[in-house]
Amino acid sequence: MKPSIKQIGDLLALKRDERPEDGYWGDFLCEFHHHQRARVVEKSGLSAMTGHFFEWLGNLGPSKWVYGAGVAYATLTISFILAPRDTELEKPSSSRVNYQVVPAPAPPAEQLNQLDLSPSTQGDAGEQVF
Amino acid sequence: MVALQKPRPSGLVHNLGIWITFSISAIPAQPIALAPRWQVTFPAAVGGKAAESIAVPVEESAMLVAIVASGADASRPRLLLGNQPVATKVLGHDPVSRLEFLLIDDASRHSPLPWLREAGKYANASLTAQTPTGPVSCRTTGWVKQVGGKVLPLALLRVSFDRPVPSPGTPLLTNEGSVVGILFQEAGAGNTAYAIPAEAVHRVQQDISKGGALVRGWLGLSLRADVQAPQVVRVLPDSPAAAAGMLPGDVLTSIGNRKITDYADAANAFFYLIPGTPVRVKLLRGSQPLEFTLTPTRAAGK
Repeated sequence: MKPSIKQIGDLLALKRDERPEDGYWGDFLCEFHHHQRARVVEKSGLSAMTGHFFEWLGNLGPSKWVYGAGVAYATLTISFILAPRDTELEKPSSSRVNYQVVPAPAPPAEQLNQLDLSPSTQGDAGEQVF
Repeated sequence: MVALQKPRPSGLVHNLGIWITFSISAIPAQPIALAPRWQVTFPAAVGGKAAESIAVPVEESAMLVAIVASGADASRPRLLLGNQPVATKVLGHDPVSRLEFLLIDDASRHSPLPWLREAGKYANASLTAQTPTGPVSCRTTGWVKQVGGKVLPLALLRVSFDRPVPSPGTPLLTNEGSVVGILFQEAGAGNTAYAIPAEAVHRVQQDISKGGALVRGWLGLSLRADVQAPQVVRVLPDSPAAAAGMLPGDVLTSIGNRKITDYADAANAFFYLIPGTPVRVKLLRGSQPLEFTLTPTRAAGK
C-alpha cells in the first residue's frame, strides 16, 4: 500500500523530532578517537618498520643484492674485530728468592748422656729423670 | 790597643786533620791476634782412636781447656807449646761435655784469654777462629739441641766456615778478643762445625776446680724424651720438685734465665743446674702460670 502524502508528512515530522539518547555523541567521539590512536600505534611498531623496509627493498630492484653483500661483509668484519680472543699471558721469569726452607726438627726420641755424636751412639729412650 | 786573637789553623792543615781523623776511625777493629800455641794429643783408648785438640787458656791461673774426642784416652794427654812438650797435669775430665782441664807447671807461660760469661748474644754473629796458623773468619748460625733425633745433654753452637773446619778446641773470638766458645767437632755437612759455648766451659770448670769432676744438679722430676712438649711426667718423692709442690702435668716454661719451649730446651737447662744453688722454675699448670724456687741437690752417682 502506497503511503499517502499526509502519512509521509507525518513520518517526516516524527523523524525531525527524533533525537539520539543522551551521551550518544560523547560515546561516539570517544570510540572514534580510540580507534584513531590504535591505528597510529600500529603504524609506528616493528611490523610497520619491517613492512616499510621490505617495501623499500622491493623497490630497489637488482641492486638489492649488492646492498645485501655489503651488509654481510660489514657484519663479518665487525664480528671478527669484536670477537673475544684468548689473552696472551707472559710467563714471569723465574727468580731465586732468598728464603731457605728449614724442615721442622724430628721429634726427639733419645737422650744422649754424653756429647758423642757418632751415628752409632745410642741414647736413652722414654722417661728421663732430671 | 791591640786585640789578641787565638791563632787558627790554616785551611789546608785543618782539612788534613779532618782527613786523618776519619781515616783512623774507618780502620776496622782488628781481633786480638793471639794464635793459640797450645796443642794436646790424646792416645787411643782401648778400641778407640787417638785425638788432637787445641788447648785454650782459661782465666784461672795456669789452666787450659781442651776437647777429648770419643775413643781417645783422656788420662794421658801430651801437651805441646809450639813443638815443645810441656809437663802438664789433668785437673779433671767431664765425659758429658768431653771437656778436659789441664794444669801446667810453669804459670809464667800461661797467657789467659778473656771469656764471655754467656754466648747467647753471639749465637748468630761473625767471629774469628784463632787457629795455630792465624785467624780464620767464621759465623755462628744458631743453637743445636738435637742431632738426628738424639737430644744433646747441652746445646751447642753451629759454626760455618768458608774453608775446612779447624781443629777441635779452637777458640772462637769476638772482635774484642773475648772467647765465645771452643770448637767441638765437625758437623759432617760442608764446612760446618759444632762449638761448646763459653757458659758450658764455665759450668764444668767451676766443679772441676773444686773437686775434679762435674757434679750435676738434680730436681727429681721426669720428662719423656720422645714427647716434644716439656711436660713433667712424674715427680719423685722426697725430691726438690716434690718439696716445691710441682705436679705431674706441669709444663715447664723457663728454668733460671733459660726459656723452655721443648724437651731439648729443658735438657739443656738441666745441664746448668748447680747443686745447692736455688733456681727459679716457671711453669704452666693448665692455663695458670706458676713460679717455684727449687734448690737442686747432688745427682746420685754424679
